[in-house]
Amino acid sequence: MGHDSHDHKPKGFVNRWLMTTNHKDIGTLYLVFAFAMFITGGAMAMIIRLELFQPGLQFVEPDFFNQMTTMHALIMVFGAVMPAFVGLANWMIPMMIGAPDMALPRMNNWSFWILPFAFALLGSTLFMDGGAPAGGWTMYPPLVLQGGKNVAYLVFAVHLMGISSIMGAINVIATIMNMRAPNVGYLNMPLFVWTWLITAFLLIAVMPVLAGAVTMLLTDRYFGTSFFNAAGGGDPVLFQHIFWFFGHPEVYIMILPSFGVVSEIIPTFARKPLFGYVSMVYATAGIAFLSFIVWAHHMFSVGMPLGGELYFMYATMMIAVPTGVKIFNWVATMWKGAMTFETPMLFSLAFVVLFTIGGFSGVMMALAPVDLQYHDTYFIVAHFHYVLVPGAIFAIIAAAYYWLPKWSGHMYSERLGKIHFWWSTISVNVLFFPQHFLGLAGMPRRIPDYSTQFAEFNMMSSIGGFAFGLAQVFFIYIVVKTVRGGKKAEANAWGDAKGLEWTVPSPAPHHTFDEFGPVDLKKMAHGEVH
Amino acid sequence: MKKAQIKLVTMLTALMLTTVSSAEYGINLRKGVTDYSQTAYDMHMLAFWVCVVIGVLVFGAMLYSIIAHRKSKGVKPEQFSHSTTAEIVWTIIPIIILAVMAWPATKALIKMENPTENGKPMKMDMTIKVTGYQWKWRYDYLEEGFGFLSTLSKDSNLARQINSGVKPETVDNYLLDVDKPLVLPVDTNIRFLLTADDVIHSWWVPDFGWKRDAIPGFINEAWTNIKEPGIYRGQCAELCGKDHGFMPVVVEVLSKEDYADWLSQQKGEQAEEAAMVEKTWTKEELMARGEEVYMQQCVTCHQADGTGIPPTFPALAGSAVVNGAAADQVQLVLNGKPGTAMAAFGSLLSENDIAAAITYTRNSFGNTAGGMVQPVDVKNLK
Amino acid sequence: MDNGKQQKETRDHWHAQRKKARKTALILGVLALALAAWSVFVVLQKAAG
Repeated sequence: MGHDSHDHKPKGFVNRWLMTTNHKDIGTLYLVFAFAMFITGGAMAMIIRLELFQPGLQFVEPDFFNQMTTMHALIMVFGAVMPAFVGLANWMIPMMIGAPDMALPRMNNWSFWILPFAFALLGSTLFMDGGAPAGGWTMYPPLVLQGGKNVAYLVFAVHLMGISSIMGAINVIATIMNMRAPNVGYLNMPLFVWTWLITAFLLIAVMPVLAGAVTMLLTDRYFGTSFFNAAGGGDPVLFQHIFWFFGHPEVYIMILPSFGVVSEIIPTFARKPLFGYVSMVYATAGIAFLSFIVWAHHMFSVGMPLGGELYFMYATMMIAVPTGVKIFNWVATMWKGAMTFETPMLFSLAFVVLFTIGGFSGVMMALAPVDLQYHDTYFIVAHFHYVLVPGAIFAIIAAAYYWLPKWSGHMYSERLGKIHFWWSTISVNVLFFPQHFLGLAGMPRRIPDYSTQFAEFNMMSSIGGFAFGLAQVFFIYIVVKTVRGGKKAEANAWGDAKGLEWTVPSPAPHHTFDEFGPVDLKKMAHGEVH
Repeated sequence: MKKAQIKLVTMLTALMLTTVSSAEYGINLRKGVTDYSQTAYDMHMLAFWVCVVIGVLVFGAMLYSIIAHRKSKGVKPEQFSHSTTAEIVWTIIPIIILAVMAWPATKALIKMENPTENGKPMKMDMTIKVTGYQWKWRYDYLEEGFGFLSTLSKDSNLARQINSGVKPETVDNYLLDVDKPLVLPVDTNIRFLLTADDVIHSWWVPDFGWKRDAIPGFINEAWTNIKEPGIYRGQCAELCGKDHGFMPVVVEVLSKEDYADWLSQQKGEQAEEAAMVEKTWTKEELMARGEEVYMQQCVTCHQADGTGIPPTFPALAGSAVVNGAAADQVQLVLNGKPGTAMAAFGSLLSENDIAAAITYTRNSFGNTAGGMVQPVDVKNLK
Repeated sequence: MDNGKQQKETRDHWHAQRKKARKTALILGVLALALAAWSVFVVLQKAAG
């Protein structure tokens, strides 16, 4: 068992990485994998922006364009953002609650190593006759069923991703519930741990539903069932209901851990406790609860009864309340603090502003009568990219800068980090802000070519896209450079940051908190506040 | 008073927008030409300004804090960590703001879904059935008993081929033009019934203020009443396969008199077309008409040279069906192939069009079947 | 406290906690499977009705 061999890492690639049951190594695997997928999905986005650079088709056929939009979304959602957060959870949750490792280390290994197979399966369709899935990541029937053999690959890949996420989520819950140091109560836990606990419950609740939905696609395609085929007595809109019953919580699965990350970083650099810790926890839980009862706001144009539309509109608008609480709390945390602006703080501040902008367009789209205009246009493309790129992905980048000293034992170059920040922040806005205008002016989403009136803003957006893509290649350079060497990081890399992870040396030894016993609550961010 | 506020806000924005945007490309939602589109626009502007005000307050507070509360200024961080009053205030105030927005939104939605006139359900003057196909629209004038297909115009279709050499800027209304637009009268309550034949589409004219999905096997309802004659352009809004970007919606709105003229002219043409089914066509006539039909209706999938895009869209050049018995090919075209983009053209095109297109394919692309299919043959197989 | 005894206590504690964790995981796993079945059931019911 692990704790016989305190600080000795297993030797050899196979033993160290393939067979690992160590939460830190598995966390690293997740993060590296997520980054590789981020670059892959990003490359597809570059193809999309290249084709949209000017009107007319110059580079790819429409069908390939659709394959790109579909694969870009699937890879970014299931391959980049979700695994990155699971990686952060693996690395940080045990260290934040004083646990020696995740509760179920062997299952942990399994849930990671499923992922490369899932994405190999999905990616292989690109090289097949008929190509990759091209029906959108939403996989609406009947369109998705027109894909040739890629339907089977798509469905099995989604199954594998689902199994991986469910096992990851089970592990997170089992760890948080059973492995806390004896004096760490639920309301002493850092907010990152809280948001992940809630996220994990969301995952367990909705990933099986997605698995069920895609299985029905599979049987419709190959075994003659008619779950979603109107001609056979089925209902294609029912798929949309099931998909979004998964899909709406899914978007919070991607954003709640970001809230957690930002709630760790802002207090550190404002040198002030997080404002309203308890209301943050309640707001997270409230958002999670609401996420289950608002799904049909993705479907205002399918022709629901008036009562249904009104209900989903009101319920959706309510989400603004707990989300607002979070944003106000972050601002109140900064208020009268003593702020410094290291790279993680910069990315967190940009997160608060730009995520809020994404939230604003979200409130606008909640209004069903206007959503009949916004729906399926570039306005919504702008909206969800604002909450996912300068939202979730900025939070992941902030987390990487924040904890990189703990992981690698080295400080990154602050100068390069700041260049990366400004480069990313400016380009991401050039990339996505004009898309609001395109959508309002009437450009539908998921089209490879457009009317000439949309030319200027598309070109602007593409230029922003290329610049943003390049900035993330620069990020690889910064991270690799930091891992290889640099100024030695202190145990508490930020001087007086709160959190148990800062009580262990940097880089964190292979095994931490092996000894069972109470931890010093004064060292925790919220240990003594309540 | 609320209305006046909205008007003021709208006017201010309009002023702002006209200064920053040229007429060439819009950056804001269109006001459109229906009562509903105006309502949607007002709703949009209200929500927009609410967001602007909240944004200014929140980001302003943040900016102030970033400037004033920084370590480099030597400030000592305070250590407060909650304030019940503040937290209650910023929970209650958003709820109030949301309620204020929900009220007009509810009224607008009722206007769309349950339109009433003087307290009674609104009376609809005419009904258009819209059917989505991969990748064209069919419009049926239910009361008049006729209808037609509406596909991307040939100019646009030519220019949009990869490396076509045609600059999109040189094509009028690139990608937003069709061979035959939907023609509607002004100031008329028009009911739309929307459905689809293959996959889900979504019918959208921004100037009317709404889009609605066209779903195979289901019939959706929507309505409009257009205030100004003109040509209004939109696009399919729901991903529907390879040519989703190339199935525009074009609506030509005429005055009531012009519409009546147009209607009688259409009926005359329909009668003429029906009479032509019975006559025996020459091969030249069939080939000429066939090429025209093929290039409009068949070309996106089967391609101009008949090579198709295998495996999804089979080649016609050298195809066993096209070179086999004529009756089998007619049956296939009439009934389509379920689960694929091949629609049942029996209900979409006239016998004349079908016979001509089939004759054209059997005598082109190096196919050796030869011979002619007469419209009357098609009629007999229907 | 002598070192050997503390090590044993530590081991026993995490052993017990891991055992509890497996139980937690099992319950959650069953819940996940039930939800998958439920989603199919909902569609079936709608198709029948």
